[in-house]
Amino acid sequence: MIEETATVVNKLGLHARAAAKLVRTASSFQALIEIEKAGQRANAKSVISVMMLAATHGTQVRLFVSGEQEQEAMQALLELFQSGFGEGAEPCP
Amino acid sequence: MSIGVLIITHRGLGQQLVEIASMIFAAEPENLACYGMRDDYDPDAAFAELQALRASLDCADGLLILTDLYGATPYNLSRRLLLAHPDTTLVSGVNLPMVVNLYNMQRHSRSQLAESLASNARMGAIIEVGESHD
Repeated sequence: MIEETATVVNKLGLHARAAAKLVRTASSFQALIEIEKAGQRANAKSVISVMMLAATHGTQVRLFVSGEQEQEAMQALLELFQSGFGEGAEPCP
Repeated sequence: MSIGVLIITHRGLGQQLVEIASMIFAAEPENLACYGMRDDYDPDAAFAELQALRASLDCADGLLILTDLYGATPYNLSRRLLLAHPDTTLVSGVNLPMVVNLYNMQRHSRSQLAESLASNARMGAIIEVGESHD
């Protein structure tokens, strides 16, 4: 298993459309992928589970990936976070 | 899995839920139809329309019906469809968390899908209380 820290950099945070993008990326890999915010873990392949994190702009999360293609999956997720889920980065508070 | 999904609700609620979920996912649902019951509905005409909608879906692995309010007329019509087609699973209490989750759940069996959708609908109901000045 590998783990990394990522920050939610887009202004709107991990809102519904961003969560859907995250879930779509995570679901394209076989690996088990989880996201943790302040001790609360979510299945990255479930929209509702991800939305329950209520991760706003500036929130730091921990990504856990284990299984097939874990490096590739982690890289794809980190790129998605860095791009602000395709919405661009805003300076964090 | 080829599970047809039919959302049967009062008026346009089901269609609205699907339009919003499609916007969120930037995708169109597959093998899904909505039926909005009009206020002046005729039970037999409505049931005939539902039968036609069911026939328009690929139900090789059955039909999953989502309806809005347990015991209400859309639910009663759904029950009638379930009795006519035993390969049907009916879930009441459709809401946006449930419909959103439909979009990434297509590979599950009908019973797993129904369980997961009901669970997600419950997960979406969260109570938060503001600071009271009492």
